[in-house]
Amino acid sequence: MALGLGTVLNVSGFASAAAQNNLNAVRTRTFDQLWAVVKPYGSSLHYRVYGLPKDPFTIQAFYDKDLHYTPRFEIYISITRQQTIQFRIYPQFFGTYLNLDSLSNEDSLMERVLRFSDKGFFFWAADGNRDVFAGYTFTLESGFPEEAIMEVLRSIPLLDSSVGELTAFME
Amino acid sequence: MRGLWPILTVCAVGGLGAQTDTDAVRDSTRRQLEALLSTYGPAREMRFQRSADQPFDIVGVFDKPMMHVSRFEIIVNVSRQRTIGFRAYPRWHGAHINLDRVRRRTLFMERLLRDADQSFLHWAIDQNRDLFAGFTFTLESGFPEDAIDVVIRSIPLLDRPVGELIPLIQ
Repeated sequence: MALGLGTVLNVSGFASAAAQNNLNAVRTRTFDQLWAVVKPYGSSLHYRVYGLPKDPFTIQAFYDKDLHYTPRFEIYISITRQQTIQFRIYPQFFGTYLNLDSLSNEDSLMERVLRFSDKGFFFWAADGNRDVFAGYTFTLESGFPEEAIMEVLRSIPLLDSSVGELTAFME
Repeated sequence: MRGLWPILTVCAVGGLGAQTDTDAVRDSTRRQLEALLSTYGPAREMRFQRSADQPFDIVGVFDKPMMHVSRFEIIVNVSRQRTIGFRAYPRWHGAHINLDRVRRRTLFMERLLRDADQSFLHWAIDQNRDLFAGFTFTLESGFPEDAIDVVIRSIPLLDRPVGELIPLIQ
């Protein structure tokens, strides 16, 4: 009985490890496709694009050209385990993010960004540190969306005007 | 002055041509969407039909028994900007969830923003201050049929996060 159970556990372990390897292989392939678009196209739009040594499935980028309200956008583009591509765009003010704890009128800002999510191309959210960011998610069931990713990269600088409306809530 | 008219006329014709192109693309996208919504099983349960008021809106209802929400009202819009936007409005106690009815508003809005970080669909508030969950597709990479299926399957799953919001409303 013990021998049989051990065998089952081993087989399950192998199956699970194989599935994990397979998942990582798919993520790696998707990341390579993403990098092949974001690095050259993003650079042509004046983004600075980097890999993240600690996270092989995330690209970090910065954009600061001709912005009026936010000094720069810090952007993370990740391939998730659920096979989605997730853009997170943080307006950055001289080294700090827009944090819910540092606002003069938290309620008004939250309502404003929830209204932005109604009207705009990007949605707005707050992360575990209560930092506010704009996001966009691609789900990959219909293939790798190269042209649509380029459209998102072209659209990110347009978030600057929305950020301009939010600066009224900052202390 | 005489020279300006031909330019204005050409611009007007160009503008009209561009408008016609946009409408043709929107119409084609709407047809693809309607075909998908009428054949895909989970979408058929939502009984979609073209909106009488807005020709590029398709509206549906999901009202199978759920734990918290009495039904979801769904609006799918094909925009001029070549996007497809899904909106799912939860109805609770016979009405949309309106920000004016929420008792613990600060916590409620913070929960919405935190959920949007973690979830596939995001939360938003419309001009009437009604809550909805949304997802936007941009169509530069073609019509995303399989991805639309995923969004449709995800709508009934919103019942649980709405249930978590209810203590903040009452």
